[in-house]
Amino acid sequence: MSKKILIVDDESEVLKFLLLRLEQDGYTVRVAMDGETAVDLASKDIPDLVLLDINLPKIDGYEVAAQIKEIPGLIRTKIIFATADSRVRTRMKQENLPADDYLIKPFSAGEMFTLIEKHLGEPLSS
Amino acid sequence: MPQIQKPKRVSGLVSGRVTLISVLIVTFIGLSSTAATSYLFLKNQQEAFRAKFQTDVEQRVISIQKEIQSIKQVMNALTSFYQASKRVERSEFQKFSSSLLTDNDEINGLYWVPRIPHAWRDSYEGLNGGSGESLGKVITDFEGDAAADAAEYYPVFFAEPQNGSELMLGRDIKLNGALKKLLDDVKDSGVTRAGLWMDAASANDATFFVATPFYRSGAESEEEPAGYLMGSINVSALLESSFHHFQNQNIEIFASMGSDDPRISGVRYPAATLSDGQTPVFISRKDFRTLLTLDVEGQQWKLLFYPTAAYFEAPLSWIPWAILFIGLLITALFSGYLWSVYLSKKTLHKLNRQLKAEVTERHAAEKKVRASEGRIRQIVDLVPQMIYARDKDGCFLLANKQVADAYGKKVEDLIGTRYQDIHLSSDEIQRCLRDDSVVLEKNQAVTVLEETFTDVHGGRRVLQTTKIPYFWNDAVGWVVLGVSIDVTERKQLENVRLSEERYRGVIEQSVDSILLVTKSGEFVDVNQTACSTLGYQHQELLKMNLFDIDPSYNEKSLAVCWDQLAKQKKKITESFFLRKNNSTYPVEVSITRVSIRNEHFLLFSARDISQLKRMNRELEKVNTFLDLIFENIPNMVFIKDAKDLRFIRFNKTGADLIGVERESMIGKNDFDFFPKEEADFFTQKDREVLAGGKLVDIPEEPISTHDNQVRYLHTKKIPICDKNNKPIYLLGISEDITEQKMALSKLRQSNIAMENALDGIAQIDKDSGYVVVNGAYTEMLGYTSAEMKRAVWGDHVHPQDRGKMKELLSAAQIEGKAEGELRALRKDGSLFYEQVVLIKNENEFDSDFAFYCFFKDITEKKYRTSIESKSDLISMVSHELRTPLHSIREGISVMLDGLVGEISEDQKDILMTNMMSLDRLTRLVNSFLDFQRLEAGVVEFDFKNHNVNDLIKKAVMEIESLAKTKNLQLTVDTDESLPLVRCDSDRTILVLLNLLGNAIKFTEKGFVAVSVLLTGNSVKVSVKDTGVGIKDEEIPRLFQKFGQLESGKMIAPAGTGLGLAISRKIVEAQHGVLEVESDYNQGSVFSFTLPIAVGSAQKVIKKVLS
Repeated sequence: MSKKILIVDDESEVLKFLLLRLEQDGYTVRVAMDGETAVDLASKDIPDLVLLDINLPKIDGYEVAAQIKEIPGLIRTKIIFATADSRVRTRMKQENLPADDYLIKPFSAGEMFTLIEKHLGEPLSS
Repeated sequence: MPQIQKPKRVSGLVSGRVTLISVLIVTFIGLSSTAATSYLFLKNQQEAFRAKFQTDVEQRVISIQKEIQSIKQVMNALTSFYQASKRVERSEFQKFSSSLLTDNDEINGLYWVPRIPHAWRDSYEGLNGGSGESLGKVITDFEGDAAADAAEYYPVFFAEPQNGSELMLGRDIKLNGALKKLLDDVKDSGVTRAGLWMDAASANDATFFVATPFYRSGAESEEEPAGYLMGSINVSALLESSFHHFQNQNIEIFASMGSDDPRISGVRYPAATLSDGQTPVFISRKDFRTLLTLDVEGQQWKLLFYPTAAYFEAPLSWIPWAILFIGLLITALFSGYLWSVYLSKKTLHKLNRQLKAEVTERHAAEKKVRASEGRIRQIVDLVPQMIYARDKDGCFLLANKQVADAYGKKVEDLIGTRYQDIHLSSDEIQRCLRDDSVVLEKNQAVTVLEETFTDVHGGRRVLQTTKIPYFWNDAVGWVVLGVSIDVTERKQLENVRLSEERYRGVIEQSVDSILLVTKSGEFVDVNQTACSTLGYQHQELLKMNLFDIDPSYNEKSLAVCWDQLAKQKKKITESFFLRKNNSTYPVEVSITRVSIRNEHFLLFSARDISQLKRMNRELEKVNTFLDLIFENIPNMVFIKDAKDLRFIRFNKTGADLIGVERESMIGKNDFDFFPKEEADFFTQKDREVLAGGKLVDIPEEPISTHDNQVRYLHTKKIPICDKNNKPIYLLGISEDITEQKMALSKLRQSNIAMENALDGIAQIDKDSGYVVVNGAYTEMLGYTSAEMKRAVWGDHVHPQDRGKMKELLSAAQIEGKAEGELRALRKDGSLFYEQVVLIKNENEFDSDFAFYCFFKDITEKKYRTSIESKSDLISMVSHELRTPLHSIREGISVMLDGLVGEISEDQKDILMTNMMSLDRLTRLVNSFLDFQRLEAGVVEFDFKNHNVNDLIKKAVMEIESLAKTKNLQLTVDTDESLPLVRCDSDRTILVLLNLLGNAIKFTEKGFVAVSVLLTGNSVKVSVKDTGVGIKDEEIPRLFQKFGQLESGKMIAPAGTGLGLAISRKIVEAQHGVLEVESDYNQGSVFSFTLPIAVGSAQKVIKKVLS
């Protein structure tokens, strides 16, 4: 079974490119453009990893991460912040954020896959 | 038989002959001797004055001589002094002279006049200068015969005038005749001489000159003097200093030279008393006027001494007058007495003549009397008066029938019998004989108005007796002739009338109605009060009886009363009397039984008691009212007995407060209700009040109530005294202040809370002046609490924010609360932000302030907010820049990876180039934002202890590939013994990457070497290359933003220009230094330091030691 990844980003272009790349590499990908939808999707179809933007409409990425981590059965789900806000670096170091790792935009495809594989292991290619 | 006594001759002190002539002689002698004596005394006094005046004049003359002598001595001393010195300098002369002038007022000036050969004259002419003018005023006669004595020349060489107005400097003395004469005189005599008396315009400015010769030292043998010391002397000042010390200043003195009457043109020394009063009699002032001639060093002075009237006011002057007065007095008295004796003698002669005539007349009358004597005797026997004559032994010489009857004897038996032998009462005998002797001794009549006499029956009679002295005959002499009238009956009647009047007065004056009633109730007598009270006329009332005015009596009850009063003395009842107008009034009646002239009556004394009744009613009302107040007053009120302090009264409020039945309190004391300590305290206070006799205020005392609660009372205790000021009761009034006390303690607590609050709190009045401020607020502003007391809030608010402050105050006034932020000023002028909350004070009991103000220093919060907002801005910018970069990158990347279809090689090339540009743009954006963050100070460093070797390895690992592409050797020289350093690892690696990147970028061949070194408290990391190097002048630009060097651009144009600037910021933020050393075209060394971690240094030291 392929690993499920949930991408949350309010920019459709980003979503489109990431979807292309991740599906190409054999992941099952779902996308959400706002926090509420993301939490809803995550609770219905448990993802293995969430690639989460921080600057989101309604509820921000930090809140989404906190809510996802609270859903029973999602304890194992990895969360990687993917944001253009470089402050996440400091916050990740200093605070106990409900996320496992972060990527700062613009990041290269290589960087992203390195992190994903670090947390999920080799993708099971069908 | 009566005989006329011969009058005695009048005699006096001076008997014998006092004739008119002798009286006149005595008067004359008295007057003349008095006048002579007083004249002698006056003469004597005049002589005494003359002698005194003579002495005074002599003393004054001597004084003038002494004064001149002293001037002479001064001048001699000066000349000797100048003679001794070789050359006299002007300054020297002036110095000594001026000190002399200061000491001697009379010296007007001193002049130095050397004798100079005429040949030298010209050289001294110049000395005259312009000052000769003032000299002219003093001496006008300088136009002498210059040629006559041309051989010599006496210029005034130096001059030191007293007041600078008389300069004679440079003048030739020879030209003034008088002065020349003086100098010649001095030259001839060789001693000091005086001359040239000058009477100036005002006599008192008169001066004369004194000259002393001096000789050239070493040439004393020469007769001619070498020159002169001249002095001008003010005569007036000379006289002043001569005379001022005399006690008696009442002599006027005139001095002149030449004039015979110095009063005309001389110098006048005035007397102290100018008034020309009365001189004593026999003294003529003119007689005292004395004119003397005095030789003053060759000058003949005329001196006139003239005493003023005041001079003679000597204490002796009254003696002659006293002598005159006493003498006249004695003369007047003595001659007056003689006159009176003389005159009285003349009167006596006249009286004696009259008496003789009288005696003759009486002898004639006597004969007539004798003739009628027989008839008189009959009459004497028949008159009802007692007539008798007794001699000085009390023996009856004459007694009429009435006298004999009174003694129960016959007239014949009575004659020749002594009064004391027949009379009975020894008291009466003594009194009677005393009267007799008075009559005889004083030879005058005596009348005894009431003489008691006991007759032969023992009955007491009252006589009115007149006794006169009567000359019986020569053998018996003077006897007492008495006439007595028996006034016994009349006296008895008078006594009765007097006692009745007195009784009547008492009755009428009485305020009570007095009614005298018979047994059957009829009025016998009533007083005026009874009439007016009952409203009847006196006569009207007397016709009525008791039953008419007091219906409670009838005949029967009056009879009962009558009987009762026979036994007891007095009966008092209350009843009502009926007035004429039928109204009644209450009376208190006192009834007594009296007997008047053996008749018995009842005396009713009735007092109108309607006033008393009304007052009693009023009093009762007032008492009820006071009781009501006592009971209902909201304070506890109690009354204690002063003796044993037991409660006599206790009001309801008090009983409720303590929680006991009021009735149970009465008669008990404090110890029955309260704990012992409280009762002891109350009792002690009570005693204090009673002993002190005045109010004691006990501001606070605890009291235990019946249900064991403690209440606090404010008690006032007052002693209530009787009319002797002895306390009989103790009145206590207590107010329950428990609630007040609790409120007060709450207030105190809130004050403590306010004082200890962490925020600033102040109470301000409506003009925003501080009423109370707490410590936190005072500290916040940096003032002392004393300074705050005088300040107002506005003082501590930034001037631009004071309007805002006023808005806050008015908002709080209207809405009760207001909140805002203000800029505040500390004492040192520094500024801070404060958050203010204003709350209106609505407590009407504590209205001395208008608002509560709460202050909080929010500067730090504000600062943090500003940093946060800056940081937010940068983050937003970075987010907005990166997001599109990411989209572009992903797009290109997807195309390059062929995820959206195959692409041609050419297309691929273009996309690759785009990708590289995109990478550069990304780096630039990242660097720029990093730099902004560093510069704004919003970057938070993650300081941790790191091994510097590890950091270097990580950096090198990352950049190794880049060095390899350029075929450069990259060497790392680490030292594992180095201590840990404290830094942010990521950022330190970034610095290393920057430095290594630059080194590789600008080096074409050779190597790039990294080395470490321990320097003091830090570790130094150096990156050395063999590249292009940097020119010295370009080094300063190296660390600037976008500061890529011209030389660098040619080699590597793709830099961001921010690398070194960022690196330097990071190194400095980590408390290190970034340095560069470079040789152009040889290469550069960039090095930076990292501070050693605390605790790590110890290890280093240990390592070095081992």
